[in-house]
Amino acid sequence: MRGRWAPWLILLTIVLSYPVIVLAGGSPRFPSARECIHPAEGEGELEAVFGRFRDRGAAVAMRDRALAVGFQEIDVEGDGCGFLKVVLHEIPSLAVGRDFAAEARNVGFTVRLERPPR
Amino acid sequence: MSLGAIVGLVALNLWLFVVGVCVLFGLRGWNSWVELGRLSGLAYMCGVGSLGIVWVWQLTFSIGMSLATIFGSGVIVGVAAVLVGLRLGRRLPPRPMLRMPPLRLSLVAALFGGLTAVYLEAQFRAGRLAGLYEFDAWSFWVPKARAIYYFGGLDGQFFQGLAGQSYPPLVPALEAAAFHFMGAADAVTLHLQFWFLLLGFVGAVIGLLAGRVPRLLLWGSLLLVLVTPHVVDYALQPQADFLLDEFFALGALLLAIWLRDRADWALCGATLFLAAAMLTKREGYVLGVCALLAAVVVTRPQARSLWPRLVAAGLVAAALTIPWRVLLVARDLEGGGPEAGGLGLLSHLERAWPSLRLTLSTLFDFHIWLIVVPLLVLAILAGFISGDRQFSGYAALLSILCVAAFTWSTWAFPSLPITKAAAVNPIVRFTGALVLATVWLVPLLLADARRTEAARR
Repeated sequence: MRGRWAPWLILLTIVLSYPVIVLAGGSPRFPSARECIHPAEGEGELEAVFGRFRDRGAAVAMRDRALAVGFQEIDVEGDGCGFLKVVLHEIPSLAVGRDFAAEARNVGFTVRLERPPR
Repeated sequence: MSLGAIVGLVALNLWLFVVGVCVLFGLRGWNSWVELGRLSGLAYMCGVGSLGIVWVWQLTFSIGMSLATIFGSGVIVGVAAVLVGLRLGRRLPPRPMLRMPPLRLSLVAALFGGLTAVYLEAQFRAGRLAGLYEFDAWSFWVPKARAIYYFGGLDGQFFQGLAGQSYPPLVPALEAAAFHFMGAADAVTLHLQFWFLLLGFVGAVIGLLAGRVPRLLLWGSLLLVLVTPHVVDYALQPQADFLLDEFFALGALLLAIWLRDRADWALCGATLFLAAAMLTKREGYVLGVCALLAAVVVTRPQARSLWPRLVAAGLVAAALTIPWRVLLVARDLEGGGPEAGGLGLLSHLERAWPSLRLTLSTLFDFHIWLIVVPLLVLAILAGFISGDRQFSGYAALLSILCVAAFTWSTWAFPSLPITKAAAVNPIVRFTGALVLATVWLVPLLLADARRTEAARR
């Protein structure tokens, strides 16, 4: 009787070993929104991010609001971490970026200056 | 990627399985519930094949694809198959008793089955978060599926603008069905649909060969093919190549079973899978001809009784693709014939030898297919020396014709460079058809040889 169950026991042990070993190391980890943000520092090209959203509708609404007050070439695009960001690319320097952020603040936007993803 | 999407995929594949069980009932029925369990992989693949064919017809006749039509088509196929089964006198076995005798499992099956399960678990883990990187997958297979999902059918303008116009929409339809069940066009979780297909194929082969070949040969051969670098890397890519290979391998296996047992259900099953292969990729026509021609040649002594059946199987399989071919003509889309034209091979004779050399070097490339093809050659030799001559002949002819087909695929398309680079020549993917067939060719050939040797002693 014991011999009859032994192969089943072996099968069960092998089948369960892989998920147990994998799950012992924790479930898959995804970068948080904060880890996807690389604040601007030093010289080099920057981008101004108006906000990050999970929902495309909210991102598009933010972009449309920015376009409506006169900002141009604002895009909605994925940030590579599962979020959509509303962004203006190709800001040449930190000084220009700070001017742009101040201008945006005057019309009610909180803009973050970031290094573009490599 | 979310748990909900995975649950949706499980539901779709359960539905394919249920429909497939009905198709299996129509094809052959089962003598016991244990036998149905053994053939559950085959049942699932029957569901994929039959519903895939129906979906291509449905799209061709401009019937939109939605959850309602996915269920409706399944109900129609299932009911029709059950009615055919009843008409043919098939009946369900008595209901299983509560106290069934315990199922026996051998040590070999436990060890190798466990390893296969671990392999599939690892593939699931890799596929769960796989990106859409393969060129053909993102350039036209998945866009076609998305178009079917969003627009409900084959949008004329959209499909005209895509590459691979002549490829039938069986795989895009299956992917669109997956999107419907997942609730979104989730191109990441979509890889898991191809995991279910791999699982179904593995289950079908095990179910069909169990009891016919020694366990060690069956599991060893299966695992060897599963761990080849190409299968490991590409089996879950959301494109049609692997499903084509799986359909072809199953169709050719059922033909082999028919050659041995003369069971009509096996020939009907082979017809179903070869038709599905033809509606998966245009290469399916060539592979279907290879399998049927090999069977025709080895049945020459019984030509009068067997050839009409084989010819009928080929005609039925090809006829099932007619609506799609008509649509191609009606919409003025590419037919997908050889680029060099009908007699173009003769004007490109200089490509013949390099194309053959490319085919052979691909098949024997350790870094792509390990030692699968050398083993096949040895198994065929063993079969000829001391096995069943008819089956060995079938295996040898099938292999030779497949090599010819792979060679033709490069020779007849002069724009393809002579290279194994997957981005510019599909030879590696195409050779997968023969390699997947070795999963059953090698164990059947060696088991025959062993049996004959034992009888001689």
